[in-house]
Amino acid sequence: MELILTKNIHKLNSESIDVYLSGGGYRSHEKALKTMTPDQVIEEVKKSGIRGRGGAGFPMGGKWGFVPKDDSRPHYMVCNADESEPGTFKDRIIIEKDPHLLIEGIIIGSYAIRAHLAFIYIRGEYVHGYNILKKAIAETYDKGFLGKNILGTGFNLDLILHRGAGAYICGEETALMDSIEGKRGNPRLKPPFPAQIGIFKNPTNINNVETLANVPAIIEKGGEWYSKIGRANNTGTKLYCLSGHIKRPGVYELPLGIPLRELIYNHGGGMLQDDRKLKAVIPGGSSVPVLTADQVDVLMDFDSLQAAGSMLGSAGIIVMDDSVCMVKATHRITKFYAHESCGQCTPCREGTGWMEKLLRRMEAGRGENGDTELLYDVAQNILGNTICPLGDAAAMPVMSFVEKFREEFEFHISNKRCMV
Amino acid sequence: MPTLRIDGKEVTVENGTTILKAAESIGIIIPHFCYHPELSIAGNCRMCVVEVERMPKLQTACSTEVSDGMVVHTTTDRVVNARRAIMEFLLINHPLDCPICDQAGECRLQDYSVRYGMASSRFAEEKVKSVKREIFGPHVIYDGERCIKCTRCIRFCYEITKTGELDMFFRGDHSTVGIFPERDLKNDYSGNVVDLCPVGALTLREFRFKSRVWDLKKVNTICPACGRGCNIIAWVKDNRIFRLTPRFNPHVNRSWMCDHGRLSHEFLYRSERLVSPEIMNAERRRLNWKEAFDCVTDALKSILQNHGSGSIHLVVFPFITNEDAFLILKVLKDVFPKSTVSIPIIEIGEDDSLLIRKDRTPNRRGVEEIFREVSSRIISVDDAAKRVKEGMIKSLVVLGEGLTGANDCNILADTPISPLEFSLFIGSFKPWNANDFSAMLPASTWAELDGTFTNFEGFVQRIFPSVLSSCESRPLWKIVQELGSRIGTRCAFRSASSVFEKLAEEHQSYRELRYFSLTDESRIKK
Ligand code: SF4
Ligand code: SF4
Ligand code: SF4
Ligand code: FES
Repeated sequence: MELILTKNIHKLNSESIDVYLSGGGYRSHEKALKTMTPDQVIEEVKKSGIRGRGGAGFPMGGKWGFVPKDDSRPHYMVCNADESEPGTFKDRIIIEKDPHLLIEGIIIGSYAIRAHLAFIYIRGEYVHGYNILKKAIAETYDKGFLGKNILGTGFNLDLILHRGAGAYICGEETALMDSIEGKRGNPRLKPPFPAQIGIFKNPTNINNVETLANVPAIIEKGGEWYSKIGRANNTGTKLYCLSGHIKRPGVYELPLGIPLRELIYNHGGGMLQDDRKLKAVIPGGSSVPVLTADQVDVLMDFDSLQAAGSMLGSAGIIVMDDSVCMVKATHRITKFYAHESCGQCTPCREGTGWMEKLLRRMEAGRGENGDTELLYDVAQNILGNTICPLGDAAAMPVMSFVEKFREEFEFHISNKRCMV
Repeated sequence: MPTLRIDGKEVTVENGTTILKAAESIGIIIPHFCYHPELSIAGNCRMCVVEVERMPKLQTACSTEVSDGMVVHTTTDRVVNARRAIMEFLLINHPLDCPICDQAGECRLQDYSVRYGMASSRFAEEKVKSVKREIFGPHVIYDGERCIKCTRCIRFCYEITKTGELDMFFRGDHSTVGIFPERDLKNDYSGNVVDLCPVGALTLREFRFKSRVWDLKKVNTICPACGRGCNIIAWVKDNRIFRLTPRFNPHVNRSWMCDHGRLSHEFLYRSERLVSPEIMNAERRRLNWKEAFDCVTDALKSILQNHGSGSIHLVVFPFITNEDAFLILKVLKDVFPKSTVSIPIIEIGEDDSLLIRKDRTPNRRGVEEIFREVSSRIISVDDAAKRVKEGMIKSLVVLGEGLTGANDCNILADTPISPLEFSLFIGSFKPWNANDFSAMLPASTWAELDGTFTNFEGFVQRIFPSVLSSCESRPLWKIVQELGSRIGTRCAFRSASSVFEKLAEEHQSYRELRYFSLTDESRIKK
């Protein structure tokens, strides 16, 4: 299989612009800026069928097309590099090992949506990645690929690197916009959507790192070519993050639609301890519903996982063997979301805290009859009733763990200890 | 214009109207905490959720705009259950200290609990601890445990006063409203956040623990503390005003009032009240009204006889009502045809961009309008003071209160009145040089009266008696009418309304205004 996103990462000094150029880099942005109109770029991306890699899986070409064309306001392109979903570490590889692939994607994307200012919003904890991007951006300006009159085409683009301050919620696109504006990062009500009213009330387009890193290849080889990788409606390669009880954790670039079993047993080398059995897998970062061991034949793509009652999310695959207490796992996940809730809306603010306390009590052996139902009910009351997806992200795992491992919760309550 | 159905009722509204407003227009009130018509939409409490056909999730009515053909349900089981869930969430960390909470009786948590609450709580964990009585500013105290994080107070400070003292601090269930270091909540409108707060998280220092709200009687009236004339409610118990709160009037003050006005009732209880007629001859004496009228009439008559009405000067403070002014005008026309008049200027600071007027009197526009007929006889306070010193003015009649320390009051305070032949004060509180006046007659305060004020933009607004007079005071116009008729005018009005009707009949600018049908929009003609 041809690698798109990780083809350079094994090279020495892969993060430098010279290594990137010698591998054929920055040819796509020249092609786009010199031979294509912005609309043609959008068309090509639409043809590729690529869906956003940030979690929601919205078609990127369509999203770019939402940015108004006959509008005198400035447009902004934003790269969301606030990768913070537990179990997810794929954007980091691109940022640290092939920053120019990303920058090239941003330049092409900005051209397509007629933006003259772009931002990379990087997670505060990614200090190494921040330093690498900082250097890479400076190199790009030096080469004249950023700044005024790029490649003599008359296209201007500035790229600002913006560091977050450690809040998970700033990865939510509207909170991210508030944060860029210098405010506390709180999700905004939608509508209006960022394409109409985004940063400083101007049309804004926000894409995940991995999504944008696909753009140079799509422009170079054509949307048609890209659309043949993976499965229908789930095209392209994907960076899968394998972690947990597995022999070879790490980031794997493979086509969308690969069976989860193959990922775990062939690429990941199987269970960490041979005498332990697979118990559960979270397929898309900690916010998505958990899968049980007998669901591992599911294909890893947007539609198949949705059909299986879960989500591809960020493709952060967390593998758990039979030593894991599900009450404890649920508590750990819930604690994260309770801590990261911005606190704006009632169900998420109050509900995540409540679930966390409930689970903590259950885990400590002080659960009471009825607590499992109560927990489930609280999660259900959060689900779908919040301003931003964090509420759902907190509720979904809890509901799925209870649904699939109810007996463990009950065991915990009656025996005041873990079942495992 | 989109047409939609809400609970089976069809309604057509402007484009861009929210479901909540559309529903309100046909009498369907959707419960809400964070929404406030004067503030931006936050959509954070989630109490206002409704079901919209063909939309999978429940929608917040406060933020969702209607579209043509929309079908909305506000009372389905799904909606009621969601509201129940919100109520449960809001109460898990709430202290439930209603018995000692000032908001009890006007608290949305209480009100909605009755409709959506559960009898017992399913929450068995420890509640989140938060700040209990943080002092936000001179008038406002915050209780973080009662706060439901609706951000109304925060939005008010960013959007209305544009001072931005408040913001949300911390995250998740530890979120709490706070002030920035060394930036107390002390803008001129800080009290409004207390009214805005749907629960008892923000309380007014001056009202805390003073009374349960259901013991208070509400009287609609007008703030007397500046030319704006904010529409207010006086809250009364035991013949005493406990607090003043704003009353919505889209033309005058919208939903707000300033802190100065909010506390203006305190003046009623802080200043020394003139309780009965007093006369100074050999010694100071309290008289009954009949004796007092006899004395004052005699004195005025002898001045008129000896020096003519040109020697009498009237100082009319624009704290008086239109009805008072009208009777004074009558006397000026009928029996003091050569007397001069001054209307003191009482200004503090500057007009601001929201409500506050530097003119701290409630009825300058009205008084000036009514006195326009005798405008040639109006002189400045400065000139009046000079004429007193030069001996041209032998007698001074001061009507209404002064405010010591402000502009023209200082000039008056420096003007010696004891050398005058006769000086008369008619007002509610003892004036600056009370001991020097030959006679003082107690008038009722703004809080005890029927009548009208005309605000600086010409809106004519009724005031209503909130309390009964606790002393011998009478409405100023009645006192003036009695004195006038003893000297020679002929009028016998029995009520403020009949005075006003006559005023409307005789005065061009008040024409067409009817006392009992004054509305939010009634204003004098230019
Ligand atoms: S769902 Fe949670 S994180 Fe999102 S806006 Fe509401 S409180 Fe904030
Ligand atoms: S103090 Fe009152 S108005 Fe302010 S956020 Fe809390 S509940 Fe809302
Ligand atoms: S602005 Fe004027 S009228 Fe309004 S409350 Fe303040 S003092 Fe009273
Ligand atoms: S009133 Fe609509 S969410 Fe609060």
